[in-house]
Parts: sequence; structure tokens; C-alpha cells
Amino acid sequence: MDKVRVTESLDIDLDSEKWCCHSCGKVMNSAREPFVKGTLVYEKPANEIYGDPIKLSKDTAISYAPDPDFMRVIEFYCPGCGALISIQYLPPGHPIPVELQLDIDKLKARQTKETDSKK
Amino acid sequence: MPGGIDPTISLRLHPEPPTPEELENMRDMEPTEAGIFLHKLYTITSEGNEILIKLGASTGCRWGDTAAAIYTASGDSSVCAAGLYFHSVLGSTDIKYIMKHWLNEPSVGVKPGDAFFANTPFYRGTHPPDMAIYSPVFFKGKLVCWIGAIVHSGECGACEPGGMPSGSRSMYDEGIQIPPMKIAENYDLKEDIVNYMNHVTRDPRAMTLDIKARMACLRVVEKRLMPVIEKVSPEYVIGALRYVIQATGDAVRKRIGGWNDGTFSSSQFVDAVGILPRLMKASCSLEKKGDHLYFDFDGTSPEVLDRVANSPGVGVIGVNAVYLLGHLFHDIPHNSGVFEPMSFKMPVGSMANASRESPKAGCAYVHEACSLVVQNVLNQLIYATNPDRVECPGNRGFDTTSYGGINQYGDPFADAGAEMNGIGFGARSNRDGVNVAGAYFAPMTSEPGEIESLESGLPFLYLYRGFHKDSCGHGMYRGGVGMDYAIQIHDSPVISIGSWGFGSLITNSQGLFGGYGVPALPYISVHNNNLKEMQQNSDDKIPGSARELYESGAIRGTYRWRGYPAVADPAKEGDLVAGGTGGGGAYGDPLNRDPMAVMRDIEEGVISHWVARNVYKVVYDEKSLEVDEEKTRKLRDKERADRKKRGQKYADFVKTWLKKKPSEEVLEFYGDWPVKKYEKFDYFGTWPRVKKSKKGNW
Repeated sequence: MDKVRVTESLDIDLDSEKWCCHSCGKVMNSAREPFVKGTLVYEKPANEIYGDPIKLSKDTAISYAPDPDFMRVIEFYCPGCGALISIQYLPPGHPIPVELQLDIDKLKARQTKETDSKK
Repeated sequence: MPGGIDPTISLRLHPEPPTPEELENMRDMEPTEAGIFLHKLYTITSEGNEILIKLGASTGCRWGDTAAAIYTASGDSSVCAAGLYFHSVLGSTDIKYIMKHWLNEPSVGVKPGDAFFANTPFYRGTHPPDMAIYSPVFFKGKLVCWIGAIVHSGECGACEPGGMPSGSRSMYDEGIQIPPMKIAENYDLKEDIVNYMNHVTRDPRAMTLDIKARMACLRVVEKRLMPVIEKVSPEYVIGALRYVIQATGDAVRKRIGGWNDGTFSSSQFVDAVGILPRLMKASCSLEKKGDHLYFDFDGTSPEVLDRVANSPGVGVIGVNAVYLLGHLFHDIPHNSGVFEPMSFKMPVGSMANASRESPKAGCAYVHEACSLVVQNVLNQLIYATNPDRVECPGNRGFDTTSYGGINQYGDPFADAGAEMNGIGFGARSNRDGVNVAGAYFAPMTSEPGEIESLESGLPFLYLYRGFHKDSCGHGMYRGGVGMDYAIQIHDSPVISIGSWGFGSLITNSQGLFGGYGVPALPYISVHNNNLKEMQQNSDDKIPGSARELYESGAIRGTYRWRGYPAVADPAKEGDLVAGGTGGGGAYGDPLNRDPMAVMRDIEEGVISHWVARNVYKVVYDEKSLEVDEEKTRKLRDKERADRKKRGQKYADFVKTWLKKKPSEEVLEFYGDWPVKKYEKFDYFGTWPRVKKSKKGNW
């Protein structure tokens, strides 16, 4: 059974039932659990994306970066090639949402049906 | 049911079951013929919508926050002009109220030439500035259908000018909120009612003109409909209006059936509770099963009974018509049939399904957060089978001004700024988002207005408006950028000005699959400044963009960080306010963006050199914009290697991450940390193993 591409950066290998990086093919964790468990995770300082605060006067500054007491930036990397697979914007300490969890059995059944219909 | 207050009406957003008459009349409907006929009806609503926009006076009316629609006799949205789809869909509940309460009430009744005004959040689910007028269409004494004209009129007599007070503490601070009420009989507008509205709102000119624009729209739509009904028969029209709702539901169901089954979830945050900087959460889990979608909003923050942070459930669901009809199912007829294969579980007492008396002026913030989670989970769902339909969200924070006072002609005025209609749209799986594309809520018809036209009607002088540099998310495909603006108070004896929206402390629209979300969005004021002096001297240091204003320090004065939202404060001649709308979320890893596209972004003023170097990791000559491809490749390879070095295994990361927590002050209204769980829910649409309550909630 083939790999199925399920996001820009992730495939599911239906034979092994594993998440795989679409860029490098790195086999990650079980596709029956959240893909983030197979990634490398990093809390990126928001000013590295949005820049440092800009001082307008002695006691006034503005920032394009989210306030760290409200929101942090969490990056998820492929452990094989370092591709940026996903980003979550979350308050500090908020559990990581499970973005997608496909029904693997139905996905396999669907792939089998599609393959059979091509034959 | 004291005084006709009806908590069950707003639960009836989904289409009603077809009546026996509708079933009979749609039985032999020929699809092609029906399609041509329904297109005729669409052109009629389009003409109606144009009339609204041309004749109205408020910012919302002039710049496309409008809808013109045709409803079935029982009230379901059936045909509408391209524009603001949620206005059209949410009119259903108002009309269902009229049919339930006024049709057979001898003191009111429903007759040819009647028109009903409505703007209460309790039924249509949006804030009081969203005002609608509906008329029944009769043919030879038979009710054939309803028609509606809906506009965001801006000013409604609330405790702050502009209709959307950030500081309101109860629904009774939020101006007129009228349940469906007869405003015209026998084709005559009741001037005493219009007169009343003019006496309790700040901008009687705009109120009157907007009401008359709605009436003109309805009269033209009815005038166009009558010969059509005569030609094809009222029975055919009745059948066709129900037929298209069912055909829409069937088409959406079929498309959903082609997607993969699974579960998907997303959390989205709001950084304002009224005027307080506090954190709230919209949470959505989607289960896709067969040809049906089940959206569960358990986990969303609780309603706040005395602050602006709440929406009726019907509004949260109805607002998704923007994304569903304007984007995901843009090629399917636009009506409330889209909701047939979708069900919604809304926690009672949450900010997404709030009680009657809590303030609703900021319900749009809740709508935006809740529509973002819906778009996020659907993007995750559809990529595998429909990648071309994946679209990152555009900015949802509004990020505009609100104001009121006496204008340059000595007349009272109050409204919200058209700048909210200048957001950037999100990136797609194969292209960048559109810069300054329109309003999120009216993607095809809204625009931020022309400066000259705005200045001629408002006591404002625009210092600049243009691309809001770096306001997009960065990625393989970037979001479109929003619009920056600076407004100088000019020739007004009395004025208050503030801001409306959210997102000054958070990213309000996220990216997708490795693309970044939009930045936090500053909003400032500069008082006691030297700008007039600079203008008199034609000073070439007068800033021409937000970045120039913030970074150059050319304007001297008292700077205040105000953020979105900020209560309207008194301002005086020459004071300056400045901010900008956000762009759209980005798609994919920014290291995969073509370096030449990055250079084009710099040339077009969309991104800064800082972003090109630090986010996209492009090595180039800043003068010639010539890319050093080899050095760029090496720099990007190094960044990928660095990611692998700094990234932790998930289990190790979570161990320390979960020990963190925002401050107690930030979480004041958030609900149980980290996830609020509810026991009682309202269900919109069918839900497995659940018998729906028909009582509704207060």
C-alpha cells in the first residue's frame, strides 16, 4: 500500500502505519497517535520572527511580537531533515492540541478500494 | 414566555423540514431549468445589494457590510447576493420569529407592504449595529417568500460611539436592540418609529439614510420579483426556493463524503475582555464521520456576564457562512442548506453560547475566534483530498477605529472605521494570500473606501494608508499584508476616538503546515504633537507608513500605546492615531520560499530587509536585490541543522512546557486552566444519541 500525503509536510505510510516526513521520508511515530510525538519541538522566541520592540518615547514602546504572558510560538521539526512541519501559537503551558488524527482503518480501506478500482 | 421573549428561536438556524406544499412543488423540478431560474433570483438580490450600497450612509453600508436575500415563506435563507453571507443566513431566525409570533397576532399581522425592523442579538446572533429589515412577498393574497436587507449601520446609541462599545457592562449599555417590529405598513414607512431611532442614536442622518436604503432595496427586489412570480407561478417559486436549499445540502454532503474520516482540533485565543487585556479561548474538535461534520465547542472559555466577551451560539455558527460559502464551498449555491450536513455542540454558558443579558457588543471577537478554529480544523481535514481548497485564515482582528462627535459641517456623527475592510487574506497551498483584500466577513464586496471620500465626510486627515509592512505571516507562501493607517483629527469641535478589535498582544490568525501566523498589531495615539507645524513647512520627514512613524521618531509629541480595543477618548485638533490591520497566515516552511519571491516582496514594500534576512534566510545585496543563491542555500541548510540541534524530543519538551502558565491576571476570565469542561450543551443540528431540548436558554 502506498504512502498517502495528508499535509504539506507529512505522509502516512499505510503499511507500517507510521507518520513520515514528506521532504526526506524520515519514518516517525505511529500514525495512530499524534504526529507531534515524533517531532522535535522548540519554543521559538517570538522576536526572532516579528522583531524586537520599537521604542516610541522614553516610556512607550510597541511590539509586533505577541506578549509572552499571553502567547508563545511552538515549532515542530522533522527529526530527519529539520523541516518545519507545524507551528502552534499557545499560551505558556497550554496542552498541545491534536491537530489531526485520521481514522487509519478507514483510510486503508479507502486506499484499497481506490487501488482496486484502478485495476 | 414573558412579553414574547423566545429562547427557542435562535436554535432554529438549520433549514426547516420542507412543508407539504414545498414538497409538492419541488417534486418535478428540473435541475437545469431551476438553476437558470435561481440565477435570475440571484441577479435580483444583487441589484438589491447594489442599491443598499449606493444609497446608505454608514461606513458599513457604503463599503459593503451588507446583504440582500430571499427567504422561504418559513424563513430559511435561500438566495442571496454575493457579499456578507452571514447577514443573509442569520436573517432566518428573525423571520422565523415573525412567523411564529406576529403572523397570527391580530395587533401585528403580516400583510402585503409590511416591513419589519430587527437588530437584537438574542435572535440573529450578531451585535446591535447589524440591523435588518424584512418584507413578506405576497402574490394574490398568498405569502410566497420573504426578502431581507441587512446592513451594519455603525451607530446604535450604545454607551460609546460607533455601536460596538468595548466598555459596556450589560446588554443595556449597548443601545437599541429591537426584536422584529413592524416599521412599515402598506408600503409606507412609519416615520414615528424612524423618528424614535433618530432620537436615541448619535448619527440620525446615517440612521435614516440606512433605513431608507434598506427599504429601497426591498421595494426594488419585490418589484423585480412580482413579474417573475406571475410568469412562472407562485408555486414554482415556492418549490424552487426549497429545492435550492436541499440541493445545496446534498452537494455539501457529497463533498464531505469524499474526505477522510478522522478527528481534528484547534484552539484559538482572544486577548481582550472588554477593555481589559485578558485571555479567552475558543476551542473546537471536529469529528468527520461519513458525510457529516460534528463540531464540538467544549473547552471554550465561559461567558463574562459584565464584560464584552460573549456571543449567542447562533451567531457563532452563522458567521461560519463566510468561510463556508465564500471560500470552501464557493461553487455551491449560497444559502442555509450548507449547514444541513453539519452539527454543532455549543456549551451553555460559554462565551460561544452566552445567555441573553451578557454584553454582546464584542460578539464579533468571539465569532472570529470560533470561525478561526472551524477553518483550522477543516484545513487539516481537507488537505489530503482537496489541497487546492486549503486556505490559511486572513486576519480576523478588525483593528479599526471607532469614533463620534461633531463633524466639520457641525453635524453629529458616529461610526467605526472602514479600515477593517483592508485585511490581508491567507496563503493557499499554491500561492500567496491577497494583500489588502477586503474584510474577512465580506470577501467579495467589501473595500476600505477611498481616502478622499472618507475625508470629505469625516473630520479626519489621513497621513497615510498603504501596505502594512511585515503584517503577514511568513512561509513558503506568505499571507497577504494588511493595511496601515494614521488619522489626524481635523476640523472637529468635539470628537472621541478609540479602536475596535483585538490582536495587539497575540497572533490572531495562525499559519498552516509550518507557515507563521500574523504579528501582534499595535495601535497608538500621539497627542500635543508637532505634525501641523511639519505640514505647514512641507517637512519631508513626515512619515509615510506605520514603520516610518514608529521607527523614525520624526513626529514629536506624547505617545500612548493604546492597542486594540481602546475606549473612545476625547481628542483634539491635530491629535494623531495610528495602527494597521493584519495580514493572512502563511503556508509551509519559510525556508522553502523562492528567494526571488522574497526579493519581490521587498520591492513591493510587503516585507522588510530584516524579515528577508532573519526569517527567510536569504543572502542578497540590499541595493541591487541580487540573491547569492549558494550562500542562501548554505544559510538555509545551516538553519535546518540548527533546528535539529535545538529541538527537543516531544516527551522532554512537554515535561517542562506544561509547568508554565500565564499570570492569574491574564487568566481572570479564561475559565478552568487549561481546559474548561461543561456539562450542559445546546445542539444545533442532529447529534448522535442526543435528544435535543426545545426549551432553549436565557
